[in-house]
Amino acid sequence: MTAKTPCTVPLTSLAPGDAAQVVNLNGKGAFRRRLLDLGFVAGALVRVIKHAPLQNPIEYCIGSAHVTLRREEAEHILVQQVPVPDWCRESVADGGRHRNRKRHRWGPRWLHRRTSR
Amino acid sequence: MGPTMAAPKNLKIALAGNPNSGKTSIFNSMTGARQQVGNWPGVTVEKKLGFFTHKGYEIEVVDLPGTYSLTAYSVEERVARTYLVDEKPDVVIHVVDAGNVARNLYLTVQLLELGVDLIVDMNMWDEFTTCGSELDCDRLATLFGAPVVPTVGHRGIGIDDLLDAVVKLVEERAEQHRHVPITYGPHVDDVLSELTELLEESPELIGNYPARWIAIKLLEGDIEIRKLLSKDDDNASRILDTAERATRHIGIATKSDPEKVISEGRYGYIEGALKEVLTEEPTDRMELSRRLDSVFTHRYLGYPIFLAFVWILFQLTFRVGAIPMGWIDAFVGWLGGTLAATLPESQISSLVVDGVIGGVGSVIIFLPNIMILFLGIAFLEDSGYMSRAAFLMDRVMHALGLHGKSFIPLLMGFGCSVPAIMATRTLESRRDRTLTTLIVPLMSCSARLPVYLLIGGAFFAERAGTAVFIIYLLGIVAAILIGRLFASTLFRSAPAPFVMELPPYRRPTAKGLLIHTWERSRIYLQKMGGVILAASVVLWFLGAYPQNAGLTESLEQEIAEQQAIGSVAALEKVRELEADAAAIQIESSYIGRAGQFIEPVIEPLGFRWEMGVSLITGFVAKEVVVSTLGVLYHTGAEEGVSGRTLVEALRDPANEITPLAAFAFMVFVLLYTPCIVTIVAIRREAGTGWMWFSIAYQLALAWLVSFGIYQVGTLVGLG
Repeated sequence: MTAKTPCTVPLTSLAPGDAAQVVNLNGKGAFRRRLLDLGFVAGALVRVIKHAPLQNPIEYCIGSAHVTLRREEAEHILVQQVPVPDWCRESVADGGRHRNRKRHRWGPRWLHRRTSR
Repeated sequence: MGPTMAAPKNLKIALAGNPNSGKTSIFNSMTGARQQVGNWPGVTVEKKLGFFTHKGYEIEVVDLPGTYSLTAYSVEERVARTYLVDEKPDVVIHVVDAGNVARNLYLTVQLLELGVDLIVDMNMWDEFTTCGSELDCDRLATLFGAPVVPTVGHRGIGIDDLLDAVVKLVEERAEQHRHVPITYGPHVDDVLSELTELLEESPELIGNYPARWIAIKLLEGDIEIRKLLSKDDDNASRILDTAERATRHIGIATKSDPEKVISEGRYGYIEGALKEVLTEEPTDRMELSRRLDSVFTHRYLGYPIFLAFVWILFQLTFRVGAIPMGWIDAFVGWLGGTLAATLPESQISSLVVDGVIGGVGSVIIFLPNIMILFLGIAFLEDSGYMSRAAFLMDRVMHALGLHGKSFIPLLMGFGCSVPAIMATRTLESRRDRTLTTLIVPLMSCSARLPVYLLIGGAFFAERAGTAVFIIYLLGIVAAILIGRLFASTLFRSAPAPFVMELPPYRRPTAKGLLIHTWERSRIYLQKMGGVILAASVVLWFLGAYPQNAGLTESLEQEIAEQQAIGSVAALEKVRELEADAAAIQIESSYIGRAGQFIEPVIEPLGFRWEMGVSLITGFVAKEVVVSTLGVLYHTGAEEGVSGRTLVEALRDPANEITPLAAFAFMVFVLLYTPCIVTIVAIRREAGTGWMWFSIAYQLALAWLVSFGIYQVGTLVGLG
């Protein structure tokens, strides 16, 4: 495993839509173990899905599960940004909006404006 | 029971699995409503048992708590693994969410290491296959050495196949059980074999646990297992030493630590296995969920929608719930009245009418609330919305040291603390659950409102609305402060990270919702009803005894005399005398004596002894405070003798209640120990120790705050 590379950053520095590979996990005890158990192991692919409206918990996709972490918890996860895999590019690249899918845009336009930064 | 020669006709099976893997729907499909719900011994983690028969086997199935792993870090995981090791179920069914197979198999691997006879249940198979993915179940079964059966739990598909597999596994046990241990790389494997050998040499140390599993747990630094080996024994200390040295060695060799290396090893093993058996369509199964989330957790729309849901839930629970509550109330009143009229007047009839029927009434009156609230909560949970609500609210609740999911119980607390405390079950961590339970009673429940209306109306006239509003606000402020205080002191050692899964949105099934609602209602009636009833009878006794026989007799005589006269004035006199008799009765009862006894304690708050008595009777239910005051001030709750209302009686300068003291009294009613039913609910959800703590801290808090308000107010000259 690449233990230390120059571009290793905490998970929180990524924006919704980004993808990254887990490099290392800080923290300790029950919390770290829970993250390991959920699949935040070295090499795993994480995608940032969305920030909660008040910016704090953040929704991530790990494996095929969506998991929420608080900012101060996600900071313990060190990652290396990678290109977003093709198969999820469309659905994630804009952080949850679906530009090309007209048929799903029910309701007024303002409802479909940016949901997260 | 271990592998016996003849197949036992009684089977004990356990369901294990991740949260949100559909374990509950499998359990419900197997057992229907034939379930027993209780707690695991010593902890307030729920234990569900079910019974059914299949192919001539009497099967008892246990639903283990949903876990991701089998560590010593959480109560749920400890409960699960202790059960598996100590109770040795004949078969363990691991319910796997087929759409998230890698993470689910992570638990499978650990279950196999624990040496249980395992069946892997690939649940939600329909969702999985409609995505176009394929999984070679037979091949996976060979790789893992455990049968793999696909099911669709909520539609009951595949349950029979699953049970057939159970029976088959039991009947052909010997040849089925051949699990190949997974390898964790050279550094770990060498140490594991060394430790396993050492452990096998002293089997008395490890009891029922498999040696290799113990060795793994030692390397992971598992506290419980270390404790198991911390004995005054040469072998044990040698094993611990070896484990410690190995931990250091692995740390240096891998620039990591064993816990991480082992987790990575498990995931690596699973990844390798899945490469052989899984062809996953590269689609995102959360696609639809994400579209829904673009509305439900929308930056601006998220909160209004959430508040609308909660408002609807609140209105359904307490407004719509009030209708059947009215019927129950009327029925209990009618029953009491009828019995009082038919039974000869005696102590027994008083016990039956006031004690027992009153007590039963106070238990079942909450049933509509509980049923509606839990139907609603089950809907929010089963649909997947509850986790989104927590996602939205976590930022706010975290500031109070709570979890996002604490919001709904706290809000329900404004209606009634009892269902609110029962609703803390939605919180996974025991810390959050206990903390929320302790704070819920500070939310001013609807039963306290009559007290505020009475006192506010009597002393603050037009400004009564403001006074009541301040009281509600004070409750919220107290909750925030107390929450922060407890979170940073009592619950400091156990920080609960907000690692929460957002499951895909799913359509809840009517069966699932009804079973959940029925379960909660039954718990309430069975486990809490008896205690509440007993407590109500005891309180009735304390209010009715000792009877002041001499005095009541002379009063009764007088009443009879006046009734004989029959004039309007005489009837007026009768009412007055009856009010006197009631007041004397409660004054001389144990409760009345207690109220007078505590007068020195409540005097610094500006309270009279009558108020003290009413606070004690308020343990039955907060609205009883009003009726007690009514009796003690010789009026009814609304209007009494000589046309004087209770409001006027309270305001009477002769009674020496200042507006300041009245306000302090309202604050006291807000903050002090809630009613018996709530206390029983706290005991059920948090345990007896926390129940006493809750009683004590609320009494202390109420006294201190009321004292502060009254004394400072007097100093400033408000009195």
